[in-house]
Amino acid sequence: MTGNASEPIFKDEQLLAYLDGEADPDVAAQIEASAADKRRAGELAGLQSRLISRLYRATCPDSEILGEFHLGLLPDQQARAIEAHLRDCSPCVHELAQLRDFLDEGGPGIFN
Amino acid sequence: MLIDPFWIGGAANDLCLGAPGIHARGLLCWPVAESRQLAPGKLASSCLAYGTMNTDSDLQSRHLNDLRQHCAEQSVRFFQRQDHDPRFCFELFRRAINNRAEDAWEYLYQQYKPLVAGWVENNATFHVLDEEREFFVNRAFEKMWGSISPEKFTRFSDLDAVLRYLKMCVASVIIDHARAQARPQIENSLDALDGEVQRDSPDLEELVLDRVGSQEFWHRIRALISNKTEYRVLYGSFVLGLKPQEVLENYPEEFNDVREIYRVKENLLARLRRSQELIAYLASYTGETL
Repeated sequence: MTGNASEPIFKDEQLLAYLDGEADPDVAAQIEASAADKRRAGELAGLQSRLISRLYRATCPDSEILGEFHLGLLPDQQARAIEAHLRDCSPCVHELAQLRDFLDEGGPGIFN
Repeated sequence: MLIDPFWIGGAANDLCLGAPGIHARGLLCWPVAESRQLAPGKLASSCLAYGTMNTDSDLQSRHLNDLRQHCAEQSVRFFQRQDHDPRFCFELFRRAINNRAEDAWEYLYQQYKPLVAGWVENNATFHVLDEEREFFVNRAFEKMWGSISPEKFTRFSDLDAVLRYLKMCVASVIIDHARAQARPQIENSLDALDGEVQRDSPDLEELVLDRVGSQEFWHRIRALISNKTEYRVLYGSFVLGLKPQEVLENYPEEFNDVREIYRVKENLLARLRRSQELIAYLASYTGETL
């Protein structure tokens, strides 16, 4: 394989794995030797970065809503929506556990 | 006129198990420290009795300065883990929230700032973040001020409940900061090669993404996916910021292997890039022609 072709050698799925550090070492070496593949990998990195920039935690409830959920302050319908969200969102599950631990540490009471 | 409370014996304490509030025979219950029985920092519900009870209307008719003085006195007792009357401070909170009384709120800020600062220090996540304690103290008060409406305040039965909400606000602002700090870390990990790239023309990935509301954008993109597998990859990759291996670990029953996830991701990205509907939406949203 050459490093001067105008078209990438590897498929996007391989370049995506390369970006994640998951590519086979031989494949990674070939990508790094290919200007077209490096350019394409860079485009994919940019696209993913922009999508994450816009979408990261976009569907998650605000943290105070998680807190009000834990405190039992939400209306039933909103609480059910949070429960449904928690089934699919491990970061929110983790944050809710943090909230619970923080609020309940040392037992009930405000001196904690 | 409030008469200093005196302790009732253990039998009375038994009456006060459960939620604080006014119980039988005019007993008023709220959490006070029992340093002889509990480790430092622990509270238990105990009872104090008053020869004369203050009614809500008594408290609500008191001058702000009078409430401040009593709140300060009772707070000293509170911090010394002595029996105390929390209703003056509770009334200040009620007045601040219901009347949007900034002078009452400012007093409460000064009064409880040390307590809130202690909570911040006790939060494990705080110690891995890059902000000073005072930053989170101030954000916590701001969040509480912005979050509690008079209607919501009616859900709080006593000072303990109000302060528990304030403590929740401490956790909340720390979580907010941790969320914000996590985002650029994920972006930077993907941008390693981006600086080497010379883009030749604006296309979907250039997109003016920052001008589009995140949730609206999410719903537009979600409309382009065709099955649950794609949804998992889209949601896991870009909403949760997971790599394909992590998506596989989260949903092992839905994929054969990690290569399948990379294939789905490749197809998804290609579809997003060529979606005329998405391009048209973005063009109309921004007024630009792509």
